[in-house]
Amino acid sequence: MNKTALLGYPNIGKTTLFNSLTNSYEYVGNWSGVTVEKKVGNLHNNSGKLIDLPGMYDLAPLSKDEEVVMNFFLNEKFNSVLNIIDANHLSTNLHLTIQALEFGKPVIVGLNMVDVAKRNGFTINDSLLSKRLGVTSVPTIARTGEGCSELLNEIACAGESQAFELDYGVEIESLISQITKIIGVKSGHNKRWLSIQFLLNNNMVISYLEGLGIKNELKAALGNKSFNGEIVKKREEYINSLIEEVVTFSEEGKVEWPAKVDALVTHRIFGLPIFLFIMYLVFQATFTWIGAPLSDIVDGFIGGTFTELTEKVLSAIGASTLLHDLVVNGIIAGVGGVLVFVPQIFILFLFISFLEDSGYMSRIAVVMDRFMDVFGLNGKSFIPMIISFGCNVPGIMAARSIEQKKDRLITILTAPFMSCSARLPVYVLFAGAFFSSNQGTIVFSLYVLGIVLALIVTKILSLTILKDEKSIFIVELPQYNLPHAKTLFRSTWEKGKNFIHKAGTIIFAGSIGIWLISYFGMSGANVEMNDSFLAAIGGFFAPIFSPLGFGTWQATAALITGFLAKEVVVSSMAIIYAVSDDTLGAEMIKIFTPASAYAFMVFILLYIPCLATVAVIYRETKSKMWTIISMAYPLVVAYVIAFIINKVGQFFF
Amino acid sequence: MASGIITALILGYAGYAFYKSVKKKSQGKCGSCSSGDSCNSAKTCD
Repeated sequence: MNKTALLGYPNIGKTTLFNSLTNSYEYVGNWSGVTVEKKVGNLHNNSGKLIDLPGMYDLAPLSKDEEVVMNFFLNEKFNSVLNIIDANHLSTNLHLTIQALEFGKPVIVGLNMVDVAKRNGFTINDSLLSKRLGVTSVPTIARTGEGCSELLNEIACAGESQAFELDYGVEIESLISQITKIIGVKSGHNKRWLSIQFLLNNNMVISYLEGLGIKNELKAALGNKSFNGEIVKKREEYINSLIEEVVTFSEEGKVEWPAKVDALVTHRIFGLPIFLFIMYLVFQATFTWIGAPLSDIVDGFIGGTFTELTEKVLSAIGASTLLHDLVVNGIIAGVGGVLVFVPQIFILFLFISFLEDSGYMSRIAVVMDRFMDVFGLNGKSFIPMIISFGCNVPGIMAARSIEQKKDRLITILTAPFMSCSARLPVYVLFAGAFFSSNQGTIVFSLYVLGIVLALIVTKILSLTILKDEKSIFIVELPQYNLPHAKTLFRSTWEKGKNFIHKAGTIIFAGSIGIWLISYFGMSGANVEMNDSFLAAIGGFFAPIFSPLGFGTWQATAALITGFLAKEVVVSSMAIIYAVSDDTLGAEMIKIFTPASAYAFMVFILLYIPCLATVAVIYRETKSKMWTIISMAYPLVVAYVIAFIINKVGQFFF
Repeated sequence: MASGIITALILGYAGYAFYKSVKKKSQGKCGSCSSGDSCNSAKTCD
């Protein structure tokens, strides 16, 4: 089976191309560090497999995700390399192309974002570029899929590689010859490439060569010299001469507005307020202006027509009381109680996808870099945090792109404070019931609270147990894009369908589990809810939550189920309170006060991460101690903050 | 009879869905990984 590796700088559209070239759909984001693991997809024309590798600037790895690429090059078999280059940044991107060419496999170059390059005044002679590099280069526009069929053909036809040898000067060439001889037949890789990477102090190549048992010979050949500077300089000279030949630049038609917009949205003082204002508008639109009426329609359908129809069907088949209660009070109440919020979740994801794809979110990382520096982290940590708004699991995985161990650990520990979509149904339920005219503002405040607390914890950890050296954040700002409708809707659907999938699995199972332990009690089946096993379990822990304003067995039981998956909290409540014709929100008003309702939402935001998040924290930290800490400290923080809110809130609400 | 079979099927599916979800979650995979789809926010599924 033909295998092609997809290689390139971060955030230049590799994954968008991967999705166009294969039958897969992987998450894309207009910022760097989205891909942290390799992904395999089958090419559309059945010519083989395409392996999407994390973006990297150089084959010498600095972070964990970059190690994935080097590990792939050293240890896996593949036939060719599809190197994606940003047509706007040829001078930097070609450094990686040279390394791919030196590796010795056939290289196909995808010259991406040629449309943006044209807008910026660049014209690239791609046929001359192909000739000079000895490769095939194909102009592409990943967002629209332009050039993809040509790329597929080129991948299918990739033949033998042409030898690419850059002259690094007498001294380095002599060393390359010596190292090549020392390696001899011990490695199947291109010896010249290995030698150059060795001279560049690529740690993974050094370890690989040491593994061949030639450590001492290599040390004797190289001594203590480093040739990094000379090699990079030679490459720069080559690239500059190449660009002079193949690129023409004209000021005519160059677009000026992106620079002006950047100056404003990344402004030292105005950048953050602009971001907060945009997010405020997003939340208002999602929860107050558009989402709430749509949710009411779904609610009306599930609670009305659908339930009536189901009851008729159950009567027609002569369903037993047990089956009737299981379906109506268990499945419809539990799963339906969560599905009601699907419109709001989709609308929120649509807005977030728009901001991501437009290039704005990368600017926020720059704005946050300055801000986060005060708290002991940098902007790179903010990207996993933003990803965590979708789901904490991939957010924690995205921390792999952070080079500093200390920064990575702090990011992993604080990412669960970012409010994932699973918590949204709880907010919408309570905000709708208690703060109906300010739903958007209330939900927005919870997201902001999560960020603020994450920053405070970060500061405490950086000053105490996780003191370390500072690291810097370098990011290449992507071009602004008007998001393509197809990409936007696909991205929204991919984010949102996870929620619907959960409704059919874990929420369904959780609802039935909750219903079962609420249907049975010590005295048998079909007991009063207050005499059920669920009431007994919830009642046992309930006094702990009394100081927070929600010390009822119902709220406690819902919190316990939330460890499995946060969505199940609302399902549990829907089942527990489905005892009258009132809506769930109306039931909540009888049990909670506005202060205790807000305290409950804050507790849901902050308390123990869900099972999947805890497992991924253990997988990423490989430490039982940090995993236990990641579960214990949010519980303490949640308890303290919810207590304060309940007590102080009583004076305001 | 029909009620009994339907109840058993529902409970059986719920048990299976619960087992499958908890197994995947305890491996640190989110919901979309469990369904074999792409992840909703980044690439995390093995």
